[in-house]
Amino acid sequence: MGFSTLIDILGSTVIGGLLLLILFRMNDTAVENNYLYSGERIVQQNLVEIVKLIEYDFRKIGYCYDWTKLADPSMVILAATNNRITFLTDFISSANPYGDGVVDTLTYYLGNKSDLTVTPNPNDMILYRLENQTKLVSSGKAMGSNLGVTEFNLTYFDASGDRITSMPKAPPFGIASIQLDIAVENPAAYGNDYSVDRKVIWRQIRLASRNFMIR
Amino acid sequence: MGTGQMMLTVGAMLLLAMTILTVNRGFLTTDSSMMQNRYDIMSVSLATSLIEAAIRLPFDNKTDGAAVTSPSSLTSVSALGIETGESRNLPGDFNDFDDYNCYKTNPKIDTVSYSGTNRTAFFSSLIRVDYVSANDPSVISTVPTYHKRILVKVFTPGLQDTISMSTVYSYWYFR
Repeated sequence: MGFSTLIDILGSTVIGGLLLLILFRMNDTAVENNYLYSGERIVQQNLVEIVKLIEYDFRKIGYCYDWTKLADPSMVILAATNNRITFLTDFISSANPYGDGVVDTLTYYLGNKSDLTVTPNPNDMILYRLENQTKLVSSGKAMGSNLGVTEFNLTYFDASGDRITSMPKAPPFGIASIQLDIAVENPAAYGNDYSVDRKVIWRQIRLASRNFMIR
Repeated sequence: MGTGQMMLTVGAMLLLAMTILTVNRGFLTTDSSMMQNRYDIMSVSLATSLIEAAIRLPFDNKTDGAAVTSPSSLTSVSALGIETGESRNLPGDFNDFDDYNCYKTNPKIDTVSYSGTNRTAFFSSLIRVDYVSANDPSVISTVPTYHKRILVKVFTPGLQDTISMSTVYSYWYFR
């Protein structure tokens, strides 16, 4: 084997190694992007589904098929804090698509971070949806699924559009519209990257139910 | 290494470079789509919010506190928008649905804050309110009717397309 042949083999090995490195790097990037994109898609889908459900429920605050049972709109919200709300409504069913005329109670509230210690994301919490609170709480059936909610803030406004800063202890609260801020993150992001760039935000300003007031 | 081998090597490197460029282009396109979707979601939320804010108000300035029995008693087509004493800078003081027509040519600016940071995203909205025909809500009426349509367009420098949403708000009262 001559010197030039040896140089050829060495050169080929170096070039081949470089090519392999490029291919490995490309493959790594492809895998990373695949996880990031699918994770982002899931987060966006989760957010849309949450918003759809909340908007549907919130629009029916104070609604009852038998309107005489909820004749006073100012009393339909039973409790309201920045991350919890309880209100009266009327659940529909396939048998009663407009409601059964029986007043139901619905509660939305955000759980604690400690409820979800298994997920790698340290910020996610369960958004609970509690139907007919007393019955379910006594039987311990708080319903919720982990969709990666990290923020669920409710801000309340009165009929003149001013923010309600001090809420009375009991209804009527004088709420005319609600601002809803939701942020959703991936419960198990690639590389445990939970920076603000990975957060998807929805801001629903002044969601107003038709049943808040008589007019 | 002979000339032929050199040509083959250069060709192979060229093919590899092209492949890498194509793959990178694909990544960037998908990245851009994802970012567009994020802005789309926020734009839709703002457009919905504006519509919600508008429809919680009385149908017309003339129906704010009193009922009307004829469409001709409603605000004229040319007067749709804010009334004397109202300001486009204070949307919280609007008293009726068509006040939002004041953003028809000069957009309303909204910001969405990222919690925990000082970062905000800016959105502009053009809003138009018209009377529409009862038979076809897509047809703008030249005379007052019991139906008004709000058209909200949201855009931002980061968004390729303009988000456009509309709804019809009708007047009704118990007789």
